[in-house]
Amino acid sequence: MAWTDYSNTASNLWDANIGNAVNSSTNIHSEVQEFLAVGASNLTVYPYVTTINSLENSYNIPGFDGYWPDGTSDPINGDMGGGGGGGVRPSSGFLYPRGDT
Amino acid sequence: MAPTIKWQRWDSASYNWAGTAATDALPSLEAELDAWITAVNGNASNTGRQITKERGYADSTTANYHGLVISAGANNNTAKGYLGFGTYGTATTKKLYAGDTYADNTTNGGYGTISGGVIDTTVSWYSSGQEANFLIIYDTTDGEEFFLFGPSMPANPTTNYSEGFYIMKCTDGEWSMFANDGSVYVHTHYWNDALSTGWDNCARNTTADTSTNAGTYGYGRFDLNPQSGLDIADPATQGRIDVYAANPNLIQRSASSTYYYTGNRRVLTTLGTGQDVYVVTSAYYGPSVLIDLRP
Repeated sequence: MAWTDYSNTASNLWDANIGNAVNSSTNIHSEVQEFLAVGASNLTVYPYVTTINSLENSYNIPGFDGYWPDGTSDPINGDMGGGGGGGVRPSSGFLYPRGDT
Repeated sequence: MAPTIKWQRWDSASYNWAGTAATDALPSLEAELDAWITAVNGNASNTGRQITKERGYADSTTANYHGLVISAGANNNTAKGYLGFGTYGTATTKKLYAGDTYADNTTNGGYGTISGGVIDTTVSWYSSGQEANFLIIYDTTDGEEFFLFGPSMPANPTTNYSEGFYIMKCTDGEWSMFANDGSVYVHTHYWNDALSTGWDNCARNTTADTSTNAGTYGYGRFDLNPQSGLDIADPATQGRIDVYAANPNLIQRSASSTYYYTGNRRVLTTLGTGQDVYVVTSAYYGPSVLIDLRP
């Protein structure tokens, strides 16, 4: 046995090895179902993912009240579903103005 | 520097978590971890933040005790945090520890005792007789160091490369260490700011939560984005100052609900089908850490 180095391999070429190491018919989908079972009302509550890696490139939304303004798309995924004022409040803590939790 | 990504599979006949041969699972993992530790300890930013493997496979004195104890330094190495990951007592469960105190002795099967923090016990695990796949991703770049380990055992579908551990340099220059079982996690980070100084250990669904810095509900100050509701449920987290992984290839998010398999890859729905993002560690109510492999 030995490690296989995929450092310079495009991840879409992982399918024959890493990707197939777990069966796509189970695993993540089942995790999602388990997640739902423990209280998440729907997946759209948690759609926010970011590449924030430092405070400098974090989103700074002055006066942000927890909801995207009317007509404003989600800057992360471009989805209008979470906006429109009164939409789903983003779940990620970093989206809240500091001190306003 | 681009992260290094390595993967290895042991079939059901060859997988042996308790094995001590160089080709066995834990020694193989340790060889990579050891090399990473040596490299990052030589970085200028880690002069006062040395990583130490306190225990490894060779320290086991008792059957069914096989794992790792890793310490991270802070405050010129006078304050250390500890992470434990391994089977400590039975072959079919592992335990996860995060704490700021370590009894450096031969108790606990030779592994000593981590305390002053949080423990996750009886986590499903296989030590042999099952196919096992190990994924490690690491970077040694000064100031952006991380080491991620994720195991996958098809016989235990909750593993999925997610029930692993990480050691990560954060944007405040201090270390975070984390281990999880998919839903329960233990986590520690060294804080040194206006709010607190010291290692803060937090967890979900733990059997012990004794850190003086930990929040009422077991959530201490958290250096990853907490799930919605956490702030409300735990007043102790209000006023926290978030920090994030220093490495630009790491993505952190709050919950593990929006990624799924397509074409045998884990893909984040929010990044669109075909985006090359790989889930390494995750917890339902805790942090997920993903490697960003997009061009």
